[in-house]
Amino acid sequence: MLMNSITRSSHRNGFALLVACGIVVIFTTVASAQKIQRVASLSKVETSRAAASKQNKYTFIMFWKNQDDTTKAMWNSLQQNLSSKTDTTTFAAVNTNDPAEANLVKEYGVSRAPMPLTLAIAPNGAITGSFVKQINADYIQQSFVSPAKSRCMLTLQNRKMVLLCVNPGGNSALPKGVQNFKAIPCYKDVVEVVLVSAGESVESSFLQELEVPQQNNNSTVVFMAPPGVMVGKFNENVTHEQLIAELKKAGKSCGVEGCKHCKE
Amino acid sequence: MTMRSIIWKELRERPTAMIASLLAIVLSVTALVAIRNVTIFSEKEVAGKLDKLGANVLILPKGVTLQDYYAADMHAETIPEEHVAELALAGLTGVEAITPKLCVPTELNGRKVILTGILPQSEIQKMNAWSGGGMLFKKHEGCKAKINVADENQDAPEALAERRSLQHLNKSEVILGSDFASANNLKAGDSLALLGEKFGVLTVLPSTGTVDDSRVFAHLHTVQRLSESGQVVNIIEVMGCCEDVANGLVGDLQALLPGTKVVTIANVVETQVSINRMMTNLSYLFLAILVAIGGASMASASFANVIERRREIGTLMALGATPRFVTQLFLAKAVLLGLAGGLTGYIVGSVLAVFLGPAFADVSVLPIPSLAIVAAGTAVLVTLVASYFPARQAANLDPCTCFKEV
Repeated sequence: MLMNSITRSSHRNGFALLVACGIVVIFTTVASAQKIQRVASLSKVETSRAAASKQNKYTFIMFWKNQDDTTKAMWNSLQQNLSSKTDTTTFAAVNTNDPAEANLVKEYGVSRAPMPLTLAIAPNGAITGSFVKQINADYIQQSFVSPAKSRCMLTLQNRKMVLLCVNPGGNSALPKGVQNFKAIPCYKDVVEVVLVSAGESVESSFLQELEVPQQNNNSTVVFMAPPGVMVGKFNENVTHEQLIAELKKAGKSCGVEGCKHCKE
Repeated sequence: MTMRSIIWKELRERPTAMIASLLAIVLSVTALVAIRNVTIFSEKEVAGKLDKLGANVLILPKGVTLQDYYAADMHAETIPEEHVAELALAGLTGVEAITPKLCVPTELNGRKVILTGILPQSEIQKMNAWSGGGMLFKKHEGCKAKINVADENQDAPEALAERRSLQHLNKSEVILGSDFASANNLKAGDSLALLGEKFGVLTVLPSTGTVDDSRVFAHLHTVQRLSESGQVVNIIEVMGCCEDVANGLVGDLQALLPGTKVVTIANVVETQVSINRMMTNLSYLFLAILVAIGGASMASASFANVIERRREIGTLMALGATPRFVTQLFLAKAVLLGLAGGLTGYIVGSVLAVFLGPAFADVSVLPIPSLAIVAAGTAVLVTLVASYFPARQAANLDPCTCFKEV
């Protein structure tokens, strides 16, 4: 009975099914072709960066214009400090006049920057360090940041706000105020929620930097806005009205009425 | 006869003496009111300009001397554009906007126009975020840092008129100053050709009353390409988030860009401020002159009056007038002259200020009613003090001695 019904249905919708399958095959083929083309069009350094990102490695790119002493010194410093860290980093030099790397130069907008310039790029794409004309071991070390910090930095670099929720233990619930804030149409597209477990040892230095106690039994909400300003720190009972008020306060104090914030 | 009728009679019978006394007071008060009026409006103008311009710092080529803030970028000297990235990457505290500009003179339909290349903030903020503006994850306290979230009002191109920076600008678009647009009958959506390239008009700025009204703004890199200027700019305007920060920024900027000249708005209006200071001092000088000349003139006229009127004073006292009445008579006359001189001086001074303000101090001046009280009060006080001793002398006259003289 059931088989008969399926057979009848197949006969009736056979043509439609055939067309649907055809569309799926075409789309898959086109998507694959585009992907292959995209990969093929990547420059040497872009490919290296993409590979490093997949391997969860940092990429240090030194942009240069002239092979002068400053450029040579910076390159030597990079080699000395990063050659022993190939398991966590890759590094490359890019001549800003090289047409093959034009996309990369355009992507970072460094064609008119002072040279040489080294950018430290986290696996997620966030720029965690920028060094003009000189670099040393300390600067390089400061470029390695925790996953949560690099996520916050990437969000801020994309001109969006961050609501960092530091929860005790393995709790993954978001405070009500954060949920409500994120639900407001005016803000939903300009804010990212980043969840961090207070106990994570890899995040301890980031939480220390934010002055968020790791032994806290309650959640802490850290509100950040571009380019990298901490708007405020709140406990889990924070309301969305408080978050909006703090944001407006931060905006007004920059000297312009109704400073850049959503006016809901 | 009442005191009022005696005073009126005295003033009517000796108009020359009255006019001479009055003139000294009127002239002094006129000068005082005119100078004070212009000074007050000039100070207001400077304060308004400072408020409007915000906490700006200008980065200029070393050899440039600054006369006019709005025309600060109109010179032939340049600095490398890479300074912009240096500033953005340095992450200096309190920097709200960095606006590099390059001015190129050109023509449209035979009319001269300044094409100003300007770099939109969207192309600078990216770098600023790499270092978090130097304030990465620091608490926002007062004016120490600013937040920068997309906003349709602040990001609108018209914001250029007030904020002197703009968020986005395509390389094929221009923004027109109001005067230029009306002179060429252009509006948003129109197109025009400048330096051999066609541009679309993004918007027309509201009138600002400055040289910006006759400018055309385009993307800096387009202007550099068309004018073959290279990667240079005439000026970099740095908007600090408050006056204190702007002042602190100067040292940091000078250390970061030693080959440039760093000027704050306070420096730009320094000349105007010093003129205001000079005019204030001048108004105090005229106050002193008012006291000295007006007082001396009044005292001399009063003493002469007492001597001339010895017989009348003696007759009055013989008829029963008390020394107190005689003193009051002279002092009331002084008050009347002081009041008349003060108010006339206020009116003449205000009229002078209204006409001379725009010509001499380049500010529009309106009469200040509160100055009328100051002028009249000062004049009355001076005439009272100047008439006190002659009045006392008149009150102390002996009627018998007066009659003997007759």
